[in-house]
Amino acid sequence: MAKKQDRGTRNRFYDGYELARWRKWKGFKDSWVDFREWLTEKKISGELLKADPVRAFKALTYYHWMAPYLGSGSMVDRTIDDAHGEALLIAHKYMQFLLKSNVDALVKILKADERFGKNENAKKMVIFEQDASPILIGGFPNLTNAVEEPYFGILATANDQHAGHYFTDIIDSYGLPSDSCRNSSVVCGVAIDDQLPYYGACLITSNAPCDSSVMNSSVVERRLKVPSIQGCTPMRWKDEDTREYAIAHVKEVIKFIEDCTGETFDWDAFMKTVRQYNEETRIQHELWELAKSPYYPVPSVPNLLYRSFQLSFSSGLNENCAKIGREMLKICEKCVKEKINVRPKTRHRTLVCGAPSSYYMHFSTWMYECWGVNTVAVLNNMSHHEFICEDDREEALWGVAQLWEQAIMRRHLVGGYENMLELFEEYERFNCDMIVYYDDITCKGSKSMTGMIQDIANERGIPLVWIAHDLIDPRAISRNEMRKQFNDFMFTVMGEEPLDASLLDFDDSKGW
Amino acid sequence: MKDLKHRVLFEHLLSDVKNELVTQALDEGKKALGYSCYFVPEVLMNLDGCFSVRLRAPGIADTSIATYYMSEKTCMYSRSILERAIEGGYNFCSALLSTETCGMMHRAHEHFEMLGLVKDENERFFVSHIDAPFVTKDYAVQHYERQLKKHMLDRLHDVYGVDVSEEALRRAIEKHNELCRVVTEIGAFRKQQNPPLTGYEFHLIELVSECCPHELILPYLKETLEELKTRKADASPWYRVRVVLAGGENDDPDFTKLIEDCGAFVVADRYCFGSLPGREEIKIRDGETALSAIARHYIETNECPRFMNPEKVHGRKQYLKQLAKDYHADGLIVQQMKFCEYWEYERMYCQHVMESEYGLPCMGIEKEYINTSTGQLRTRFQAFVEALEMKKLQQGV
Repeated sequence: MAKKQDRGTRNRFYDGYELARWRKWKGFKDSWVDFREWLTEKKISGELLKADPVRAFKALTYYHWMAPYLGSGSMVDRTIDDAHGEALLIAHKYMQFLLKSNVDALVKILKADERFGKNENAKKMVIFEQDASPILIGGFPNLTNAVEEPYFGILATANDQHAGHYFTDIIDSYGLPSDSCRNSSVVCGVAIDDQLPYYGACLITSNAPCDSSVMNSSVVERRLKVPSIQGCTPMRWKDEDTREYAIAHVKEVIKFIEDCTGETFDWDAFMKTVRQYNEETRIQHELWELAKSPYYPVPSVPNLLYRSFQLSFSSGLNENCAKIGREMLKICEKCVKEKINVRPKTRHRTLVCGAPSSYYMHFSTWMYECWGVNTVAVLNNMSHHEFICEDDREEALWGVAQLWEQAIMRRHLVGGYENMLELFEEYERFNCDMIVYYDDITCKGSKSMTGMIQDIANERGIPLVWIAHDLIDPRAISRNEMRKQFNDFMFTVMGEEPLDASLLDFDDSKGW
Repeated sequence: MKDLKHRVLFEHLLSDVKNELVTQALDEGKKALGYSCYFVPEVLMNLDGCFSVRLRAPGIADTSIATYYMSEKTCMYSRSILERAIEGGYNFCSALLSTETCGMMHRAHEHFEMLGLVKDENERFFVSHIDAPFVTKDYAVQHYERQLKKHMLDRLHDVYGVDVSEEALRRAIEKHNELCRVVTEIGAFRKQQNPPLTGYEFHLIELVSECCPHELILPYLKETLEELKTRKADASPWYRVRVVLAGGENDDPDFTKLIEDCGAFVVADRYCFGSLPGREEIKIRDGETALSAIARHYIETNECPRFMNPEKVHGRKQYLKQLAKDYHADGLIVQQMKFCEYWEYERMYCQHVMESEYGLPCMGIEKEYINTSTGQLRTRFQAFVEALEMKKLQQGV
């Protein structure tokens, strides 16, 4: 534990928790920005209760996966802790997008949930599994979409590190080995425990990103009891000859939605969504260009969350996404142009690879504060980044198929080992000098490449550290154990001393 | 029962991937084509001038190097294949035909490319990857057919000059069907109340049919079939209960033997490397090309839990129930290789639904590729056998 005489960032927290004795003082201007944006975030969170108080109350008392949203304020604090100046504003804006999208989606689900009374909203809702982009809903202006899995697993655990225990214990006791991907198994736990909302006209399952998510679909399908179709795109997605099959799939999904809802696919509306999606993608490409600069101000964690859920919460369907993106772009351009350094502690520029632990999303924040390791690029974010054709319908459907094929995590995990080894190209592209690999111990596709990745890193003299974690369950590998792995690497391999020793070893196992 | 004439030979052939028959075929100038998944049609690897070898790693004791590359938290079968490949155990192969079906197996195959394995022995050695569909719709079958052509037939033709014409494919189907008929006829003996062969013996027979050149093993299989027709079973059945064995990869006859030593006769083998499915004849419909028939056949008969469409998801359980009925089984054992995500889920689900919804008692076990922890497994099998016996007693059977 940190000694009392250490005067550092950790001293303001109660031991064992992330409850701070006082808010971090960031100077007058930044503290004011922090307070102002904090108020906005509280307002956004409150909308969940305001939209339909009765249903919200029932949901909060019924669904185990809902309660963690009460901790969303703490999640925001954790993810922006290392941000100052322009970076602070960017971090808040990203987190507000995430909160707003999340709240809007939850409100939609609650209003359609027939567990709390019959309603017509349910029949107008199409459910998508997490990695299946809902972009097709753009072609059905009278319908709405719900993206299922984030609330139960990754987002819930990002809010509260203990949120996944209940459901992982259920599925473990049901007989699923705990070595299976925890994100997929949490969703199964929710299904087995009858904690899925009763909603939706139909369900589009997905074979992304991996074997376990292929398998968990049948459990969810069985429990949801709505018509379903398998939106499963090719694995060898770089093989041009898979195109015909992929497009056929997308067409079948469209027809399925039409059959289930009685709606007709509106090509004009869909193309409008495609244009919006392309705008989001264009902004992201421009941001990546700026990220090569030492003056790139975006803190990695809010960006990681924004980018991770952009596919689920927008894919061209949420105008707010591009709006926020444009604002971010403007700030970033200013920082790069005027050489404003808002990450002054930077000693290393790192590329982060692998699935980050959802119970320790803010690991990068800690790396920066404690060691000055600045995450400038996240490999997972380099997904779903292809533009979709706006002029030709068949080409546009191919674009949708590619969006599914190259969804987050799937983009590098399947389709050939070359995709995973792209991390070394990204390392060069973003002028990094270190790689941090989040080693999800349940991710078989990633684990099966460890030796090769280490060999290549050794060959090229790239410092690479593996941070083992359990994705959802901190009981397997705690946050502090993750920190210890990194500390050991920095002391022994890099031969460096920390910037803030109070952050080296502390207990936050009881906190959100 | 008197021992089967060729039992020792079969056991010996399975003790090494490059056995006498494989060596003989290689000496005759044929190309050995390695594979490890039902999604790679065996029949297409037995075109004139080549033969299929389903990859195994018998006697593997240590997977240290493969574990370095793939970590210890991955399927041991995949790691064993990689380890054996690094040892040079598959250097006789001319190609490895792979599918991106289960992630870890596929990664093991990719290491052949990444590490340049076998290439030192054979410069023309290649690894080819097929994209296999997750559903059984017509367009998925057509896609599969295109993939088989591109990644198997075209490669074999381009690299080794293999004849992949319609006539050649039809000849391969005929020969394949002949082997399937013999193995299926042998397997059908298991339906008898007091059968003249054990599950262990059948496991040997099925494995040699997959791991040896068809033309060379077929005479032995035919002879065994004739022998079984006159083989005298013991006066009364040797087993206490009959079970269907389902699950993922299982190329270890000693595992079947372990179950049978506990009194459970393995009457049906519905697992990877089993004959159900695997030994059904391929039928070419009117107007269909040989390749179309093969693609359709391998999608229709495939029982891999990777298939996502409900017809297959429910069909898999129906199929198990049907097997139990046809082979008069009292129960079902679902085995799963540790870390195999497909079968982790399928086993879990079978344990819950097979008894309650299909009336078939089921036990699930997790195992390693190497047959270890036999003491614990034996205890569990014995308990299951007793439970099935009690059930039969209660039902007055």
